[in-house]
Amino acid sequence: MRMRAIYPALVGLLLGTLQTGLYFQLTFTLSSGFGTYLMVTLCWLTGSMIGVLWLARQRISTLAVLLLASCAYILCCLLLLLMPFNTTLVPLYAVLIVLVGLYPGVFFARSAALYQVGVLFFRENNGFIIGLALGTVLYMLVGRPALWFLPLLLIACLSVSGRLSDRLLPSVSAP
Amino acid sequence: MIETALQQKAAVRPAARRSALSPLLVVFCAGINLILMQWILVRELTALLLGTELVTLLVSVAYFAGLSVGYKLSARIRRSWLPALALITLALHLTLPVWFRLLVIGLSSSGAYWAAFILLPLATALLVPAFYSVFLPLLVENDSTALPRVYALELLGSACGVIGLIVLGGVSVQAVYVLYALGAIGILLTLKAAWRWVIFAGLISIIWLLVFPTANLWSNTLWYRQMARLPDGTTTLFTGYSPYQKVDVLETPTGARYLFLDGLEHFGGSDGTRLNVAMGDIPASLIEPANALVVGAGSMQMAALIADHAGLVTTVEIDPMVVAASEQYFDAFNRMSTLTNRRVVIDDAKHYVANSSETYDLVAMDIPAAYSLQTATLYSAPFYGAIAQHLNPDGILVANLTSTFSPNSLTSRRIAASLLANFKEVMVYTPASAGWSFALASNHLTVDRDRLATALQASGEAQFAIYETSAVRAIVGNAAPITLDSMDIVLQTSARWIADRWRGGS
Repeated sequence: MRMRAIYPALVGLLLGTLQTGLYFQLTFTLSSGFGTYLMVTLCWLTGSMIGVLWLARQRISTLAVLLLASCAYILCCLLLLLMPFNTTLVPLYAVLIVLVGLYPGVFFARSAALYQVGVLFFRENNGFIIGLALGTVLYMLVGRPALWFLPLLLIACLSVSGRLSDRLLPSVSAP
Repeated sequence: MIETALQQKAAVRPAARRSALSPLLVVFCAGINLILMQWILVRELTALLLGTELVTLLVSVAYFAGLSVGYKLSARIRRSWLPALALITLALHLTLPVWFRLLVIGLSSSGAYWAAFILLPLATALLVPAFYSVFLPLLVENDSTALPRVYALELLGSACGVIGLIVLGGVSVQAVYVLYALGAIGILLTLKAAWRWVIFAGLISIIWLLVFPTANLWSNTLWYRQMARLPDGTTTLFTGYSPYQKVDVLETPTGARYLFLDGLEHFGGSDGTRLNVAMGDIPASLIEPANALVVGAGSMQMAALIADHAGLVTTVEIDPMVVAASEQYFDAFNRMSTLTNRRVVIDDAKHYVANSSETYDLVAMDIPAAYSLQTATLYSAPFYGAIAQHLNPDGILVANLTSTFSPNSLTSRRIAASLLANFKEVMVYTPASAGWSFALASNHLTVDRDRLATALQASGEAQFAIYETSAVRAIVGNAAPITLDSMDIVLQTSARWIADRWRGGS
């Protein structure tokens, strides 16, 4: 029961750190231009829409979607580290952010059956706020390692509890 | 099944007007308006609290906390309250820039500016996004299977809001507010508010949006007169929200013009001109560059002073609104209308330098102090390293140390350390008239102490200090360079800035 109570907040924490991580790394090592903000926002929203409307109805576990999002985030970080300011990679970054955005969509669609929607969004959003603040402050204190390892730590936490989370969140919702 | 909470609750009000509009439209409009208000709020509030990174974070946290307030309240909100709440929200949001400024003026004039750091975030959390976040839980409270469609529509609304900002954001705040008002009226229609209320909201919105430019300029001027201590009779020549910041140009009765970025003075009075002379005119007169680059536009006076001694000067600036304001209101300083050896590139300087093959004899930094992470990256060792690769063998980088260089100034020492990490020679000079210290950095510095001193004296500088590389190294000591992984300087600067405001009143 306790896991069920904190699970949305933990997901929110992860989403807050992922968004902070993507935004800071892309603006610092690709471009600080408005286009980067637009790419992050629109691609995240697109991924979430695909996740909530389509992917959540497919026979794929929530854990698998989380791992897909994790791989996309890690690849994004690696490319930015190895090939900074490489504008030709923008379309790839856009696709990777869409993949990251799939996870929140799937999460919300499948969690709706388990939580009151107001409670679900309230807890997730509170976690998101903490993730946003923590990601920003830790970045200022320890640099990019905070943006790499904090999300990975949270992904590990959510993955370790994967069986539990998949029991909590059915892998296929009603068509 | 989707005929959920709103329609069911509406059914208990037989007098309510029937509408052909789907209740789903309400979350779509909410998604649009959430994005539009975030755009306006972040820029206005960041400027009112004198934008630093922690202020930006505080504003973002307050905004998202408002969403939580809405989610929490959604279970307690009655359907019958929603039209009235929509009208109140519309009124509060359309007038937000004005009443937020008046509130801060009131606090500041009573010596309680510090309270703005509490009251404005609280007001934001309770009054800005909360109303719009009640709808999603309300629409699916009795049917969780509806969530995917409802949530996707809100996301689609948010995406449309972003696209609306791309189209209208550069036009004017008024244009953004027109879209916002349409969204709010769409919500009123969906809520089946009585026609008289919808018409009332429409009329009030039209009247206010016609009055808004005047009220906006008036309240903006009042705010700057109070906060920047500008004299009576000062007027706002331009105010706008760019994709990056709030940009303001003000003029005093004596004709002095000021450029403010996010509420912080970027150019104004004699101090600004002396800084541009120290960083632009003096280095350019010493090396007569064939090709020069100025990072950041501001008033573009620095670029004009360099252009007097250079073959070609390129200004790279990320914010087109700053360039437009500078061209329109600072021509007396930057002579953009007459100089022919000038060009402006709109781009992020990091991106531009990394992707450019040009080399320069002189690169000068005309950027704000490192109050935010974005500007701090332009003081970092990696960025200076990228510039070093674009300097000709005798080329010079002129950097602003943003404070007086001394063993007690960590900021100036860390910026100097970033320069020393990339250049063999770094000479620091502190002209008394400009207040701050500046650095000439090069791998083959052709300017020596005597030439620099002569140039400073020729520019009318009576008092100044010059530190050669060995002295600079000694003062820098063990201060670490600023890198992408050591931005703690921003946290310290931002925290100190807020603490000063907290203690000092304004």
